[in-house]
Amino acid sequence: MKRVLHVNYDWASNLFVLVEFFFLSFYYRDKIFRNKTVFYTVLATLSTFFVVQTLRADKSIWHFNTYGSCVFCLTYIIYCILGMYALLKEQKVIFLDRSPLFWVNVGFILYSSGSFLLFLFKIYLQETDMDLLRTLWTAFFLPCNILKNIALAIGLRKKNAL
Amino acid sequence: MNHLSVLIIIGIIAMMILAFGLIVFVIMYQRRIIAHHLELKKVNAQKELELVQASIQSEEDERMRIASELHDDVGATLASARLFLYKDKNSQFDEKIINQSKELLDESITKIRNISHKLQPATLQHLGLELSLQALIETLDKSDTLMATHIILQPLPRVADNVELAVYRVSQEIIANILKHAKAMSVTLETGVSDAGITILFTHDGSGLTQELYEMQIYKKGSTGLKNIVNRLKSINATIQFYVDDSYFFRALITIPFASTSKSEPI
Repeated sequence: MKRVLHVNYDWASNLFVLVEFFFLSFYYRDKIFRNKTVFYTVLATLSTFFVVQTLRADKSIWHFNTYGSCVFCLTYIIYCILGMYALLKEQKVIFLDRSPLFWVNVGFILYSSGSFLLFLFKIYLQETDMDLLRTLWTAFFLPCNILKNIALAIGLRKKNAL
Repeated sequence: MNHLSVLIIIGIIAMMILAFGLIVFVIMYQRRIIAHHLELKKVNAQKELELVQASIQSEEDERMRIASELHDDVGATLASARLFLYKDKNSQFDEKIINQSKELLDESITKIRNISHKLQPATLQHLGLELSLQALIETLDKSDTLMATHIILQPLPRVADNVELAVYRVSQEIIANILKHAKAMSVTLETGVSDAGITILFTHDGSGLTQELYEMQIYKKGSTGLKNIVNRLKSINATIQFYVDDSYFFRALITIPFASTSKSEPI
């Protein structure tokens, strides 16, 4: 779309990543954060980092903030590990597939682990090996993104999903 | 492709393997916990069953003790008193009073004998379930309260004492309930053997229970008789079904699986 219409949608991507981070953090708030202060500190620090990082770049919001996304991916991995730990510790559900949290964890841990290094080295690969970036994007990022969306859909279909 | 690119690919694959590993670990761990839960549930159910059996056994022991006391001690004392009164027939006591006393004593002895028999049916131990049920139905028929019939479809085999006793008690309870609540004119008891096990079917023409009503009643406060039925049948793994047939007769079918009928070790 970007190539065909020559329109830059990176600002929307940045906004999407930030909003996704907010939604996901609030989803995990009651599940893994015992202390609300810690939650708001993490939320404020990481979102501020992302915003500053985005605005500081050469093309500002018109350029996709890969480092910020990379930090968010790492945060999601931590969220998911803590989410899995909470599931095993609390033992509220006997069958994991009935738990929406399990599916959200599965979706985001697969997506984040597949995207983390890709976001981290995206700029480097763009400059050195564009073909490899395209291949990795198709082989890892897109399937992981699809898996994440499928897992989220399954999770949202469960009772007490939110 | 330079070294860093290769490292990036390896890194991505390694991270994905770790993520999959974590998911598999969580699933396996949870499976272990499920297995543990099921094991615990099984043990609890077994313990519960043992408790029920123990409570029924102690109840039966107590009944047996009271029955022996009534029969051997109180009954014997009353019988002796009766003997003395009959002996003093020609004495100076008022004949009317003596006769009244005799009547009262006779009545008391009969009552005690009946209570003793009800508490510990001797026929059950010596002659088995089928003849005990036959005797129960005959007593009911003689009482003129309703018409009672016993139909033997197949002769019942002798089974473990606790099973026979439990089935006999449940039958007593069902008959007591029919007499008390059903306002029936006739009751039929059919005993037989099927592939599912020993079957005992009560049919009466009064107003009775359906399975739905029965399941509602057993969770209500009171309904001690029905709860006793549930506990006794649970202790021998038997089942009971209440239903209405096409002719609007109410039926209660007890099925005792063959697996539960073998003689077991006392608790």
